[in-house]
Amino acid sequence: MRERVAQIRHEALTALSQAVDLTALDAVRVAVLGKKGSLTGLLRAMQDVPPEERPAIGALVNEAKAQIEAALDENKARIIGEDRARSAATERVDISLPGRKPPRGSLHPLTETLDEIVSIFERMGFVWEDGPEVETDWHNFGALNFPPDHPARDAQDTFFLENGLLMRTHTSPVQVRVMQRHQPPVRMLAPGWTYRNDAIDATHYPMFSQVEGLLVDKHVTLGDLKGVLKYFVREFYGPETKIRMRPSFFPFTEPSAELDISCFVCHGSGELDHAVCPLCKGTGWKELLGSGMVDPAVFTAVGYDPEEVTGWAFGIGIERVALFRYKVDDIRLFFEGDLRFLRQF
Amino acid sequence: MRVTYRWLKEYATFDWTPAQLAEKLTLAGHEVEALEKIGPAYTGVVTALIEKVERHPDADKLTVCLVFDGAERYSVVCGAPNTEAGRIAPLAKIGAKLPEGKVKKTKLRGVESYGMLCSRRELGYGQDHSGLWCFPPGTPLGVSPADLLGLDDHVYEIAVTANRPDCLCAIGIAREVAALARTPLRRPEMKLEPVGGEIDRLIKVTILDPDKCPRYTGILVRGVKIGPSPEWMTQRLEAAGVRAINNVVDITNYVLLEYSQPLHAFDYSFLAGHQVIVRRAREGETITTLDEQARRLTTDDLLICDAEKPVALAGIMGGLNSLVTDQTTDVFIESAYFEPTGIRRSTKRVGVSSESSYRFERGIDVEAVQFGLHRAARLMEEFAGGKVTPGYIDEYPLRRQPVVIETRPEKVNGLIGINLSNQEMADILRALELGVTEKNGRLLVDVPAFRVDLTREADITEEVARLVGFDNVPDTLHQGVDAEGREWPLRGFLRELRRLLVGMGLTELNTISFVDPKLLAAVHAPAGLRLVNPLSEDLSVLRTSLLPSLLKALAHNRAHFNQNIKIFEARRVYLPKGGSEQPDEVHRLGLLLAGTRHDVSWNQDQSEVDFYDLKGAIEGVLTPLGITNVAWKRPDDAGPYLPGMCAEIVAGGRNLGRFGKLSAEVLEAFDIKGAVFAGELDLQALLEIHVPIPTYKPVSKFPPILRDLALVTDLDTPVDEMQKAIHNTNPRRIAEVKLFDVYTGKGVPEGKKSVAFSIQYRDIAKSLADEDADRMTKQILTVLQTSFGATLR
Ligand SMILES: [Zn+2]
Repeated sequence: MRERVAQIRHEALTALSQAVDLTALDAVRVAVLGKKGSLTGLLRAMQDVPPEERPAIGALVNEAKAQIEAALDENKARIIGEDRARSAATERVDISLPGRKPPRGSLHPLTETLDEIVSIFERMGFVWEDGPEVETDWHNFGALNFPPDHPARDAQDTFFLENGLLMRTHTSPVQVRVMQRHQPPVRMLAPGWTYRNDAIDATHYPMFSQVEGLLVDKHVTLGDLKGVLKYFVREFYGPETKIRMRPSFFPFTEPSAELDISCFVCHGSGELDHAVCPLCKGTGWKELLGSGMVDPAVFTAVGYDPEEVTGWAFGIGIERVALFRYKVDDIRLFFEGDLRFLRQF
Repeated sequence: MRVTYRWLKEYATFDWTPAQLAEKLTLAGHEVEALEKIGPAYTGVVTALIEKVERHPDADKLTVCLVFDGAERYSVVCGAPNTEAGRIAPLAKIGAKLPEGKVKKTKLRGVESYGMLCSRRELGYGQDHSGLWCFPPGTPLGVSPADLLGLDDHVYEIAVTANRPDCLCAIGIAREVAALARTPLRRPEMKLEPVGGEIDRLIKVTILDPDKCPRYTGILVRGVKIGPSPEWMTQRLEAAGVRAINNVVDITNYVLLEYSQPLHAFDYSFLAGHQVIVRRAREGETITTLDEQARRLTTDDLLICDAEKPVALAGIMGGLNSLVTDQTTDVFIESAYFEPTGIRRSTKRVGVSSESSYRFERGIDVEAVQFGLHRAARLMEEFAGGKVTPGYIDEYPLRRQPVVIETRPEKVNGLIGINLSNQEMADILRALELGVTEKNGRLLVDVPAFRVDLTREADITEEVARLVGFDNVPDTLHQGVDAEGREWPLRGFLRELRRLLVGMGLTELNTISFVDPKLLAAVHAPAGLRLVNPLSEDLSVLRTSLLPSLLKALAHNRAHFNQNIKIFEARRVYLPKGGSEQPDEVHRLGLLLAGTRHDVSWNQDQSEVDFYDLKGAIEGVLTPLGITNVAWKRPDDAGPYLPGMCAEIVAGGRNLGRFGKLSAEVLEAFDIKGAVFAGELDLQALLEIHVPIPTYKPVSKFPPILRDLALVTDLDTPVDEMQKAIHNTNPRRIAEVKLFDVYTGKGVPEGKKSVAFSIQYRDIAKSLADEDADRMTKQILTVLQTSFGATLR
């Protein structure tokens, strides 16, 4: 019995030291220490040993078991070490090579910009409404308090269609259509494409996009307009951005206002590297959008009672915002479809 | 509108710097687009007292002067003949910039000179170089000559909004400045002639059309001598961007810029019969305007005529036949009010406009035409040597009705979000020269004639808000009842669609909605609506298909050597409905693939895209949108595509669109070579049939059994239908049917193809046995044999 234990131990330790991989190691473990293993079998055969010898033999078997288990751990560490060394020598990838890229296209920069602007107003409960781009004179001008033969129409440079309709010059006709369909209160956005007959150059394109916002309810004030626009500006341009509102003129709002934001290049100082800031031309301000309180004539045109409700509207030109946002210097790039440009976004 | 700082100071009292004034104006709604400094081109020049003069030791014509600028003393070598102790002259200190260059420390014949004493010419003031420019005794020292004499100035370029014609002149802007400073406005003082008198014997004015010309005034200045204008007037005209011509013309222009009152100066001797008749033109009547263009008129145009002929196109431009010339001695000045919309229609129709018509069509001050008239006459007396014939003509057949706006202060406060007292509000309005009386808690605002923009309470509200300052209105957020949410259904859908396409490697385009009609025809698209005033023929029609835009973008990219073109555009097309009806604006998705499948890369293959790349992209859109039961059909009309390489997509009973390989003649129209795959999908249809929220199907815990089947069938047999048929033999137990091979050629008979499916059997409730799989396979083979004539290979 003693010899048998010694033999099993010897054979196991030899096999373990000669094993070249973890599978071989495990095979030895199963063959010796497994349920049907040789050492396990010896323990089972203990009843054949005379009772007085059993403690001594038992101790011997346990000692062998402990030795083999220790050798298992040792050799496992040896094999893992050898494997790593071998792998380091043979299995090398060139980590400087580029990976296999999954396909990736790009969203248009105007889509991205519009989406971000819209989502800020959506958080405040404004709802996206759509309307036609080919409009009637009444929806684009008449209902918006542009009298016929009025110089205010000059600024709009309208594209006319042969069938008497026109390309909308702003997204404001959508507010007319929504107010005609629904009773107040109204809290809407009208993003979309608009058209003006401008010759194409680095800062003009005959098609451009706008987001229009409209709020109509009882007791809406100019202060509310400022509050919402300030919230928007801080969300979009950062909390340190300042706003300035100054009077302007649009036929469909009264009072009308332009909103300037503090220049994001010189942070409102008007100076950059001891020279006049090139973006704001030294004023420290940058024009962002037009807005105002809805003119009572617009309410009357859509069948609202201007004595009952008030409201405000604003319109943001998306291209302007995107030009500054991405530091693009030529508006035509947005519309040419050049992938060298578009794939940068 | 251009006006200078010093000019404004003439009429308004304020103590803002030029930059502060610019900001005040901008914040009051008169945006200063540019603020330019004008003045002589020098720096570093100050007045200095010559304390001592000594002869130069080595030069007869030079002197050495000790000069004092009030702070320091300098020794300056000077060559001027009039150096004399006690005189005050301009000193250009070292570092000063003069029109001719920079002043440096120099040695003149061995004596150092710390600066330079200057003549007028050396500072850029005229041609006088006879000696030093000397200032009167007592002139302060250390001051720039420009500041001393008011020769430098600042020009404001102001964007005057379309509703404020009263601000198209210096007095108008000054009125705003005075209101902001709460100081009174000072108008030029002058003596008015009495109406009528001697002039009535010299000229007769008749208005035949008072609707178009409610007021006409005139005055006669005799004995003028045409010559140059005074320097100050020339400078102001130039600052305002008007070229000086001669004293009489310059004076009319100056009054236009000062009062916004357009004037016209006729040579009195050319007015036949010494008559002025204001009447409509006759149909087809012509006049040659002073720009030497013959203008053909209609009865809607207004003419100024003498006894025989038209002499001016009223309010727009004078006639060539009555122009003031160098020989003119007697000038008849016209100052009138013409009805705005009539002038506007005429300028549009005739195609000519002027500074005058620009103001008439916006509306001038009908109550002030006589002031502009007299201002011009007095200036001609002063600067053109003329003499006003006593009296003036004032025909005013259609008097302006007073405009009184009843204003409720609580409404004004409520709209702005402020709380002014009635008194504060009235003070603001009075500062703007509006008449205000209070009655029963309301303000009755009497609007002067120059404020043509004020007609309603809302307009008064704006005036109050403007002068309070928008920045002083507290910011608030409206707490109202929320409006019903009814978002545009395509909004979220388009967003998801774009993200899907970008994830598949396609790049989004946005191109202009106008196309060349020839290109629409080239892609077999219907004709689009035409623009009346397109920028060019290739942007003259509203697109009815997205394909031309995608193909143009492809051509552009090819021209710039961009490869691997995978693009899409999700936009509307405009399908005409006929007549004056608005077109159907239909949202479409346009897709285009061309070139290699992948960018050039060491580990990606460089094969070209094919039909299945495009179909895969379309499936890649449809599947996530829950549109799975799709039929792909060969259309009867392949349109711009090759008939054998075109498919129509049908799902949920809707035709979703068409795609395929573009035919050679289509590509030729765009000058494109190589294979191009493109398609258009109807997004509205997609939206209507898509399943936004999928319904869960249970997954099995039991193992699958896999069987592969290779079958031989006719080349034309639709594989997608075979696939469906296989699945339908036992939908509950056939978890997946995958097509893993399609083969024609050796080993497969002519006209046949081999298709191989991998079928996964799996039951939700138990493990399947091999016998179950065998049985189901047998059933599949029977179905494929009977329905498609397919046999096991
Ligand atoms: Zn800046």
